[in-house]
Amino acid sequence: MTNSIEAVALGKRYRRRWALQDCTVAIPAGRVVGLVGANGAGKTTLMHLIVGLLRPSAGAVTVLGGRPGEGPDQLARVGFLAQDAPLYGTLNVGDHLRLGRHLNPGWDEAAASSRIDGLGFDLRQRAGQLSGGQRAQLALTLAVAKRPELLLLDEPVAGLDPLARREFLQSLMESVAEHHLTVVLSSHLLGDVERVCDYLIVLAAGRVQLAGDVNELLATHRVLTGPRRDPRSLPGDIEVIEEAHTERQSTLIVRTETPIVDPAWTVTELGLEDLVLAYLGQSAAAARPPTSPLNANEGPT
Amino acid sequence: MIQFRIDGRSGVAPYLQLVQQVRHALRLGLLHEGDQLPTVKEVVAQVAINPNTVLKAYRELEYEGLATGRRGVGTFVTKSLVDTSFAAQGPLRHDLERWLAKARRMGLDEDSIRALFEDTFQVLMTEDVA
Amino acid sequence: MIWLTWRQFRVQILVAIGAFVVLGAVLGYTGPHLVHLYHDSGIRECQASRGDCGPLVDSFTSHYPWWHGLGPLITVIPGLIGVFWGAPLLARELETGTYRLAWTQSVTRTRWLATKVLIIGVATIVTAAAFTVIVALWLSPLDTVNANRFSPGAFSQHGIVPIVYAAFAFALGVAVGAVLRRLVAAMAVTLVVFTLVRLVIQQWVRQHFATPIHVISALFGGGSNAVGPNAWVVSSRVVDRTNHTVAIHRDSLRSTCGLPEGEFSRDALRACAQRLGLHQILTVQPANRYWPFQAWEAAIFAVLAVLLTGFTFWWTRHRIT
Repeated sequence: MTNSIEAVALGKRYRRRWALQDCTVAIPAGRVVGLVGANGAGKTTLMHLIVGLLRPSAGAVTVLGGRPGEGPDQLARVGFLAQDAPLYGTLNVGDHLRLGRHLNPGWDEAAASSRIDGLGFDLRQRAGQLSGGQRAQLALTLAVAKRPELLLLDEPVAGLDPLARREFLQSLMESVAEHHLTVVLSSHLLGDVERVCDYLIVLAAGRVQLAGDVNELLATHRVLTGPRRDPRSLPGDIEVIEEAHTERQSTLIVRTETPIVDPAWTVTELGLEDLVLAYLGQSAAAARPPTSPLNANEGPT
Repeated sequence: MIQFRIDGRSGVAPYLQLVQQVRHALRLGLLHEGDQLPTVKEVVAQVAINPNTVLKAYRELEYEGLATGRRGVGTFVTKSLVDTSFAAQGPLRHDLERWLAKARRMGLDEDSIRALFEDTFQVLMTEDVA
Repeated sequence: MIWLTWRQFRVQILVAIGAFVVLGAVLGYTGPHLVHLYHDSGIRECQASRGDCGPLVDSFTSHYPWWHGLGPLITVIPGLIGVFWGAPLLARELETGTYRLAWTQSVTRTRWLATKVLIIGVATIVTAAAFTVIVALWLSPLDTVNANRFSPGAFSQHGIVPIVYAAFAFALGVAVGAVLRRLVAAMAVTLVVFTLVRLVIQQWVRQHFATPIHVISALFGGGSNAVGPNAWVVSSRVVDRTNHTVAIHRDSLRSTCGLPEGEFSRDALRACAQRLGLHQILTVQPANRYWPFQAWEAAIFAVLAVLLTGFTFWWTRHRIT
């Protein structure tokens, strides 16, 4: 399967701060990719690099085999819904559709009209007067009706009420099913990610912490519970992601290809939310200053 | 047309939930042999989930022999799981009445009977899925 | 893209058209009457005979006293265009974030910018030209009477320079908006920079387009009589018989010549100055240099406009990241 996006050591710096660093991922085509991370983790930066709104400070990214933003053909193949669904407040719904039609040779007027009709929009209503959910839906219509191969959405449901959120995701999935899109969706709402995404990228502090197929990730991560043990005593092919110790018990989140046969451990599966939190916690721990010698006896938290 | 629901907190994988719901509908007689299952697009428009999840569920149903996909047309039910004739239900009802009488004779009160029934029922249902 | 440019620019151009229609109506209604008045005033005959036309001129120019505002209007239009047409072009898109919508359609940002700059740029030139022309037409009798079109203020309001000022202001506004990315700040900076550049060139640079000539004239004799109509007296100084510059003013002159207090007659003062051997040396740009000067100034602002536009394209393509 070809990759829709290939980033190699991609980085972006603003003055002295690296918003994204050392990002190397290969995103397969035909997936719904969840880009997860806290605010400021670098999600928007990565998306803007992919659609050509930003230029890399380091490394390179190839999108659908071409360079981002380079020429109208490349731009036509990538649809983007930026954060907070930017629209022209003084232009009405009909004007926005005309904008799409005039600026995109691949514009599918029938698809756009049927979507708008289905959503019950008044064409003469100004975009500035629409609700958050309606803005998101209009912006999604614009992004989808240009018939891209790749669709990126930057926190599309972040500010929406639960009903609007559900309707947006339904609408998005319908478009994915109909047009066989590759989608990259950034969010910090893990529940939504778990529902719709089959590929996951976790960003923290501008770096990729985890990337892979969701089913494969869930299959290779386990929670181990057992009597208090030093995690370094585990076999080498088991990677400890997170560890918590009390006086008598150790709980580890591990990544491993091979099954755990040690009977001392109780092995359970891991949900996606806990998996992501474990990796986010790992990066936070790495960023914290080292524990002082006084705390050494208690072991790391 | 069958309506799907996904419970994000049930611990059961979404595609399996879909499979379960199809089987349940077949048993209740809501779906018959030859009925068309909703298209992938219809399902995800109803339940905001990944289209691949639906495809996986439909493949599982095909594997179990409950449905078959016809290219360009859709996915259709191939087997019924319910026998709606009264003749079949009659003996079932009779057996149930006898079991209830037996439980009463053993001294179980209404709540205990209900608890026993639901417990066994749950175990059976989970086994079914696995 | 052409439709989008029009749709986003609609209000601005309609305001301009509305203002033009209103002004045009007023000028169109009063213009013929003004010409009529001029012919009836007898000023032309008076000026031909080199008499004292003061009272006639005062009477004529006090008709429609609001004409004094027309020149300033022409001065203000380029600044308005720079602030309201130029500055928002990029600044508003960048500040509100709509560039994230505009630049992810199937049009490159260079093409997006080129279409907008071209269409609104042409609109700028046409608008400035339209206003300049109707005002110049209306003012022509007054310009003939006042004969001061080469003076610093009037020069900037006549001829072709207002049009080039407008093009420069537009290009400046777009460039400032691209760099500052904030609308109100861009508008303010555009206005300030535009005014400064215009002032600097008007007051300090323009006079050096060509080496001026020097004309000697009598004190209180009327400089314009010495150099003729529509010439530009850049500066003047009073010199004595030995051609040394002296600082002089009317009261000290009067007391030196022994003229009684309250004697204000120009003839008496002139005679006194002549007796003392004082006269003026005028630094002058002759009237026939008016159009070459217009061309020089137009060229400067045109080059500035082109450079600013080139900068904006480079900045947008490479530095708005």
